[in-house]
Amino acid sequence: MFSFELLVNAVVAGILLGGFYTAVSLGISVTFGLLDVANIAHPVFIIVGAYAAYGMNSAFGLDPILAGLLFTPIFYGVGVAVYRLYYASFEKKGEQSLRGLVFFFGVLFIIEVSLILAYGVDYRLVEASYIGKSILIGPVGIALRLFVPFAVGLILTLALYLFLAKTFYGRAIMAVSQDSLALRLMGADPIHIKTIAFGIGIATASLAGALLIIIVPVEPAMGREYIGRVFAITVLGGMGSVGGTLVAALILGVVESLTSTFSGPSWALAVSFGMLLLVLAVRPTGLFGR
Amino acid sequence: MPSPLLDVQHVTKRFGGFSALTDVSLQVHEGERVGLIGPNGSGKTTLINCIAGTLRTDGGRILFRGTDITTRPAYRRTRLGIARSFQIPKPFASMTVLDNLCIPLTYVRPARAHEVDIVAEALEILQHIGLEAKAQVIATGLTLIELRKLELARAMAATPTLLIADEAMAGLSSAEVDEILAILVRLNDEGITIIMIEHIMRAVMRFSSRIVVLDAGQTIAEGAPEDIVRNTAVEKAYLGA
Amino acid sequence: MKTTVRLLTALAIIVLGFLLTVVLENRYYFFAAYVILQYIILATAWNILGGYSGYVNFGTPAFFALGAYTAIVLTLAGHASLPVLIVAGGLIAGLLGLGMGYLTLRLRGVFFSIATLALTVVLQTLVINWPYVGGAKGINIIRPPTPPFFNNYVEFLFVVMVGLAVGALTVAWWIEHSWIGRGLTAIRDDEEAAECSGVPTLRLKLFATTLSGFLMGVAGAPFPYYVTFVEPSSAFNLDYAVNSLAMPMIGGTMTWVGPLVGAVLLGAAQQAAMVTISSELNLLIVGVVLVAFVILAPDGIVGLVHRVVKRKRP
Repeated sequence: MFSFELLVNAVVAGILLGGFYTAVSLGISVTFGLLDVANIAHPVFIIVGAYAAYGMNSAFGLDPILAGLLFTPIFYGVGVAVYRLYYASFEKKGEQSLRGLVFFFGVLFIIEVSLILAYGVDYRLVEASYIGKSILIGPVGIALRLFVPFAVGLILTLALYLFLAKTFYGRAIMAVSQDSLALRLMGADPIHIKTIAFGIGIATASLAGALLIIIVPVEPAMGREYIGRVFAITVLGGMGSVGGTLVAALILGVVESLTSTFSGPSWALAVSFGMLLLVLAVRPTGLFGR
Repeated sequence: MPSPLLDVQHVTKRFGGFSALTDVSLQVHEGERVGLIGPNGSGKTTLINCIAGTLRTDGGRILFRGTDITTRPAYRRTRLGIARSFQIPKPFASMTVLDNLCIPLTYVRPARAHEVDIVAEALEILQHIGLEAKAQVIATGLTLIELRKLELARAMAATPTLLIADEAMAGLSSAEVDEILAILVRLNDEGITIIMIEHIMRAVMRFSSRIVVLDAGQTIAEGAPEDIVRNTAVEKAYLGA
Repeated sequence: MKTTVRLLTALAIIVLGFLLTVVLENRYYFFAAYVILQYIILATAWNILGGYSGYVNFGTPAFFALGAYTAIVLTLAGHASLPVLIVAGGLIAGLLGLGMGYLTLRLRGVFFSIATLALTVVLQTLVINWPYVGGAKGINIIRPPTPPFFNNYVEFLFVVMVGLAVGALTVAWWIEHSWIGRGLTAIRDDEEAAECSGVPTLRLKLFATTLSGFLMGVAGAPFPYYVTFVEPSSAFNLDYAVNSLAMPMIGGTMTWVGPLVGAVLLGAAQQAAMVTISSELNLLIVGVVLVAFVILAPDGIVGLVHRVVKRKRP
């Protein structure tokens, strides 16, 4: 059943979702796009971020976004620790990426099962003043629980973009992804830079998780839905391009939203997977690829 | 003039916005010893990768023995007779030296025979090149010169008509350079056409009957070694004007 | 001469399996053994692509479930016999492997792995939306009558699985020692060098993915008859993904023995633990052991044994 109003609402919802998807994918854009580390466990870190926000929210009534920001340094530290372990075990020895992948899969698994053991399989949600309210602009209804994550997602994207483009460490991270020899000659230690970058990648998961639980209730196995999405966005956007990630996320958000509205919500996942395969088949360097 | 063994015609290769090779043409005749030189980043390895097939070209054609191989995958080009060694040795790290050679021996002539013959032939190549003592050693346990010899041995196991040696002497001592040079000369005497990419000038000068110079993705000079040495464009490319 | 010995050994094992059904009284053993045998096949299948070729498949549940659901469709549509179910399940899953491979194997291995990771969720979604096979609620499957000489259908399935496991192990053994196996090892060690040494890397990789998928589908085809009630969440269970990966990694990825060792040890441990600890805790332990092995003992148990044996020799 097609109506213009339905279409517009679906597109708007898709754009809002896209802003959120950007926040979710930024971490992979850095760790996989720039550092070439296939951290498939990233989505489950986001779920942890969601549970952290839930914990703060249910215990102290803290706003989830604040909780997300609060936990960001902790996530950064975890990211640093994970990368150090990964580097010492695999990259340093020049091992095949097979073992690194299995390592992250193991991490994903351990975290997910731990969450189940800690919280059970029931859905958890947060409460905040803006959840449940909508603004109406003409025929378009904008749900605040979508808009707030969209806005925060955009801010996060801008912050990361500025960091990578303007600060010393940010530029060093961009440099190390392209030529670590040149970086070494400049006096910076590539491993140190990569560790920081990976830490930042995981740090974004804290806020992204908070945004997630604002949008939908969360349960431990949800991370799996996002794996396909996140990598599809990163590849489509051109590995490591922050701007590209944003555009790709918006595209995916809109396509998913349209599919969900007109074909049913359960097909939305198939869409992201289909997009992943399509991008890999047609243009693996992405839209803004290097 | 008989038709060339390898005919590279106006090859272009881009990586994103960057042109690694622009309109490069090169002809190599059977039995020749061609030296390919140029400053770092001039596109030498990219050209080799395009010839060997590990990279697809963005323009131009490559003919080998008159056949257009431009779109053929690398393994088919190897089976046609093009072998290459890698700048940084890429041995099959989990296998012994002997088994490393068994791969091309098994796969280059698929209609091939029995295990016994393959092993015998592998040992023969190892003797030829001076590695027979290390036949049962896992490839990771080799020294640099041994790895470089293994690279060449593996290329020889593919029974090539054309061998492209990509910096086969980098990082070796003077005596070791002479050792590798001797192997290449002997291979050429046996009828294998050789393209040598090298930075070690005395090796290139002694070895090559003809030198091709690449700079910033284009051929800037071509000729006998004595002429190249005196060529001002070449001097500029290396030293910067 | 050697081949005859091997053939006879294989047959002997199957006969032994049959004799067990005559001798053992407690049905529970057969239920448990079925699961372990299933994992032997899955682990072996995974290893052909993962251990031999170096390409990590995270989507075992997709291939396994595809085999199961193919069997369901054929059972519903025409009461096909078990051999037909097994072959069909294998072929369809094999086709999926071929398709996945064709789309992603020309790129770096990491993209293949990521695609397989997303595959399971998507396939599960498709099945959930397909009422013919029961959708999300699941479907009841009626077992055919028990064949003669067997006490019940589960014991029959047990012997079938013994046969399939032996078959899978034989295939893995054969590949390992053949020219194909050599080529796969070269691909795993250095794909570019392999290609330049005349190895048709894409073809071999596609072969490995197809064969691996086929064997996983074969493992899944008898599943509906085993459980009699199939729902997507059990057919697509993440357990299959983790175990089919952990068992070869822990047992050893270089040879056909590793997955067997891993499947028997881990499978038996899990069956035993199932009554004492929760299944989540069970999985957590598997995850931790997996990570420990991948960091500390990447060659698995078989690799460790090799090292000990080497040290003892002068």
